[in-house]
Amino acid sequence: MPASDSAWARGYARQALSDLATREVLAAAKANKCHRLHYLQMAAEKTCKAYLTANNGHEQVRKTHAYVAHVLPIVARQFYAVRNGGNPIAAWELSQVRILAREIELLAPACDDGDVREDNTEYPWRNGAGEVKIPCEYPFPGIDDSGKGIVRLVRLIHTAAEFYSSTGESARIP
Amino acid sequence: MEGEATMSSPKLEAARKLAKAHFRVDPQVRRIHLIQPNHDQNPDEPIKLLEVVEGTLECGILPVGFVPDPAHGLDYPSVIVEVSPREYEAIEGGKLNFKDWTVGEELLA
Repeated sequence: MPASDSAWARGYARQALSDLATREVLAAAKANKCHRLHYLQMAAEKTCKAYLTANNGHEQVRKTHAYVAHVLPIVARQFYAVRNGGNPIAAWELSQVRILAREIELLAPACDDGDVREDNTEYPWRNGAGEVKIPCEYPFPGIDDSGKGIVRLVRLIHTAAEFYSSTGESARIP
Repeated sequence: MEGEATMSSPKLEAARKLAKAHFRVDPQVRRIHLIQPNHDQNPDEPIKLLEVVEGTLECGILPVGFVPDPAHGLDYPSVIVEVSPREYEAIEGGKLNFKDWTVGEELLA
């Protein structure tokens, strides 16, 4: 019997939590920034896929990385609205989520913003000057991965993944 | 785009409350419509909202599903479809070309 889309969705959510836990281990061990960001990118991507899979189907969702920038702000808006609607800084935080979600999506090697952005957390790339850049030596200046924005984003991803992993069955459209 | 007249129900009230909360936390949200059919009497069928958001990436009709969160006052599953103002204007005849979904009543801030 084929696995249900809901089962895939819960699987994505649980793996996202494991990715986040691994990011914490890497951060505590002072691993290079590329590795910390790699696990953050994977956690964000899998959390988004969890929220997409039940309604769009695993086959439709599994093939691409390019969902984070669109979906993560939707997840953030829902959680801020339902759980923290009176928070006067929610609008500011959402604007930060949008910026960071775009940067995080571009960390995947497959996402290059139309050949404009080659920087990624996994493979060396050639920059505009013809130099080979290496992820473990690159500062990734667009993301401060210990800043308040990332801390809030990690908290959001964790909350969203944890909530889905425990209750995802009912997200399916009947 | 004309909204579909809908009688009130607990589920519709929940949809209105969710839409207001989304407007409240996100100034980029321009308009929100209920997506029909809403299946007012079926609590297992999600509330579905079409949200027009300034600056969103254009991904077409890509439903994002949420489980109920009764501990925080949301008793129904929900689905959000986010589109840009340009994508919204391009929706022809209220048909979303996803299942049998159509654009329904506009929900206000």
